[in-house]
Amino acid sequence: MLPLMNTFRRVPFSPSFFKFAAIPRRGYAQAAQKNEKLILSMALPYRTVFDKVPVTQVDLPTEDGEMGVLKDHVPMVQCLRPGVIQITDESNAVSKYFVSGGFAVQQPSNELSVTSPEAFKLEDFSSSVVTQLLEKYRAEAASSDEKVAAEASIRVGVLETLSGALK
Amino acid sequence: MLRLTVKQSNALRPIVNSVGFRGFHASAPREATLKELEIRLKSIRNIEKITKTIKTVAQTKLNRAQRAMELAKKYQTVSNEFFEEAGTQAPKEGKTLLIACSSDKGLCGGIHSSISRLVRKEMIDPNVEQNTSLCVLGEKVRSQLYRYYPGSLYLTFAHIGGASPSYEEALQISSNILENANEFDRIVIVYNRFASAVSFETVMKNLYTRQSIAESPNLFAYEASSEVHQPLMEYAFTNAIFAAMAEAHCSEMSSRRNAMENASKSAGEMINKFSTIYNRQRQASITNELIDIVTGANALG
Repeated sequence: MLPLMNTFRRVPFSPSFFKFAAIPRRGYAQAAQKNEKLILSMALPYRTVFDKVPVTQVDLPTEDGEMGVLKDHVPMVQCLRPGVIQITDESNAVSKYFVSGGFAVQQPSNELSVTSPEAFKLEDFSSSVVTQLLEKYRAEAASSDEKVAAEASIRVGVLETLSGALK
Repeated sequence: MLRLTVKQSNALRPIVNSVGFRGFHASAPREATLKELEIRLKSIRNIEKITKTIKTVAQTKLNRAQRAMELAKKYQTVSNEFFEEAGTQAPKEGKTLLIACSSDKGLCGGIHSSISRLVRKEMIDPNVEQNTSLCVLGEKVRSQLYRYYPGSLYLTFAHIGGASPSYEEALQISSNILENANEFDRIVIVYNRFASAVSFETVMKNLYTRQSIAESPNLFAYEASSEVHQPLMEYAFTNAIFAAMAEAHCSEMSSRRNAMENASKSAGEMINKFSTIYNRQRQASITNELIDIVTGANALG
């Protein structure tokens, strides 16, 4: 022990130094159980769409672009843009949900958590209503009232993405 | 609110005295007349009907509120899994924003006063009081806290609790608070946790600030640009408010249901008591009349 203590004395005493001197501890990533498959949990404020369901692939519309998540994806936190989430489950059935925003977190344990304030199945939308609303809000976006115009332009952005997805 | 008219309330005093409360009187207290007892009985019956209705309404709202609360908590859990894995520590000291989550409506037992009590307990230390700003959701708690800390009230939200809390409400509240949230080191939310159908527990939760997210010990395990910290904090904050409001609403419904059930029970007991007195009085007056008649008949012949 004593010879080692001499080497330590040369270095300024700091608690962080012991991190390197000690046996490396297991980090959180290693301690968590890693699942075999990609486990999806998708929750909304009033509804839990998926609760720890094993799936094959999830395509997400993130701020950094379209992202496809397969199992063993690197852990990440992504902010979602308005767009379509496409879920391919184990039987290769595809379900599409349109979201207006939210977050997606890939845990080191292969769990993907997607949360959004609102999400609806793409087939539940009516394109005629979308076109109607688009006209209405485009007109409002040109309004002189800043607040009204700002809100309307956000709606127009979401609606345009939605109408693109519906085609 | 039920309030007896002045004429009726004056009539009650002798009734109260005749059923056991003994005050100091120069002369003997007047016996309650049959009419006064009848009026009182009628008003108690009305009160019992009202409390029973409020209880049934609270029961139905409770069932819905419980389901909504479970979903809201699940939503918050899913969005909070990141913080657990990343080891984010919610700060416990510094300039504090305290959010007290309650509602505008009364007749719900000890809901509002237990929130005020916890806030007062927290602010007993003058250092904490200096450093804390209060944001109150709900008129009832605002009026209670205004009496103690008028200078610390920062934001108040009214019209809370009329309906089940919606995510839009939580968004509006959180966006108002977040305009100035980054000047606080610590954000705390006080609400009533739904413990069971007969009890609630007032708890205080520390929420994550942008600073604490950026300083998460395990953040490096995630591919997350620093641009994501502020939106993530705002999102988690809104979800926390939504979950707290949903749970507080549920506790309030259950507490109101229990309070109204007790009130109906007490009203029922009072009805029984006064009915007995009323019947006794009625029979006594009939007996008196009979005595008069018989005495009169005897006197004549």
